[in-house]
Amino acid sequence: MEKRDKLQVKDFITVGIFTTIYFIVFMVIQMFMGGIPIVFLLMPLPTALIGGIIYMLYLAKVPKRGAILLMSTILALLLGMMLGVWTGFVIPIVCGLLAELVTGIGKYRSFKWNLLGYSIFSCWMICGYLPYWLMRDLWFEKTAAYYEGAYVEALKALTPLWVLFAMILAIMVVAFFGTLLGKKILKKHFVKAGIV
Amino acid sequence: MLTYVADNRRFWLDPRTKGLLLLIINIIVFQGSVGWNESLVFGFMAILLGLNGLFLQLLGFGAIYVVVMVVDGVAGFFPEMLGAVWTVFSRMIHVYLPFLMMVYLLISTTKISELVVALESLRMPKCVIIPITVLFRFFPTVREEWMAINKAMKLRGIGLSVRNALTKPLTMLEYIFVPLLFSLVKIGEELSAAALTRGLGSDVKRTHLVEIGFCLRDWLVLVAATLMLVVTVFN
Repeated sequence: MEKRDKLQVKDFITVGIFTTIYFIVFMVIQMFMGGIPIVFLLMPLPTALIGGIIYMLYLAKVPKRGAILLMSTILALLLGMMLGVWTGFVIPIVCGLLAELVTGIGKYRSFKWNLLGYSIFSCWMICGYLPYWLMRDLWFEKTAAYYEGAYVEALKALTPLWVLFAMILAIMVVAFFGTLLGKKILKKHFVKAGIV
Repeated sequence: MLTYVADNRRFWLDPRTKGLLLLIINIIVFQGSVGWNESLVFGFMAILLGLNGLFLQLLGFGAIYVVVMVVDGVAGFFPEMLGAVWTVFSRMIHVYLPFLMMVYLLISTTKISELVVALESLRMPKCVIIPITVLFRFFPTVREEWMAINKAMKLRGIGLSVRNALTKPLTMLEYIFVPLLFSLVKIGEELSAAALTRGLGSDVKRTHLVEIGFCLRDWLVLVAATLMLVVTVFN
């Protein structure tokens, strides 16, 4: 591998910048949608759409091996600290690694593989919801002790196992459109201005 | 040796202590609370903020706490469904309040150089330290840039409003993110140039002026936090 293709200090800074923007978008959406039972299951979707713009520009700026994995590692550190549960540390890294491998097939420049890679990458957002299924009894016991019974019942009714798969599918579909949006905006603005 | 002496007048904590505290508080929040122990965590955070001299912020968080308590109290008078949503919403804020306070404390009282030293002492690789440092440095920058963009948008009558967000969401996205990304990429390029000039790119082990270390305060705070965690888990 040539030195040029390796991540350098300059790229680490770029990783930091794009992770910041991505994370802020995620947090802002979280804050607006977090409180309401049904809506809060849809929280990953706007992030997946908007993230497409950020992610596509990011890939265009750093089309190198390890960039996606590094971004997801930073996200995992933040999420793990924020959620206080192990899925936050693990899931983003797993999704990032898979996305890295898939995107690597297209040498980080093929639109088709980038698209698939972003769809997989976006699935990290499932990490905050996984406790509903993985630690179902414990989770609902803890929740019931604190929130009113009606909320817990509603939440339980809202989260049969198929909802998990539906969420993953929905994230991937929205991420698909996010990538298209990102590509369009990249072409319309950033390429013209010489940023990429 | 020239060393930078940490501000001793305030209740200075090691960045590693603050990181650990953040994690502990989140585990407590995740474990769910039983009413009184989250008031305990809130009290603990309030004391920490006070000791760090962040009185104005303490007042703000305290006000939110009181409002949320009142809201929770009157929820019983509402019709059932509305009351339930109301309660859930207020309790969610209630639960996450100590977490927000901790994040605020971490960001406002940790200097970036202290953070770098702390991460280095944890043997983090460079590829993790640099992005995290940039992240820390960039949170306020993103806010500033966004405010400037929003102002410019308002001036031209395309400001972010509920109506605009609902009628033309994609256009709004474009109007917000294109200038935001433009300016942040630009700032990032300048930042890299500055950092490289200062030798961030070299492979030599870095030296630093700032010294960090655990002292009695850190141990006291950590023991208190661990006790709270134990109480929550075994409750």
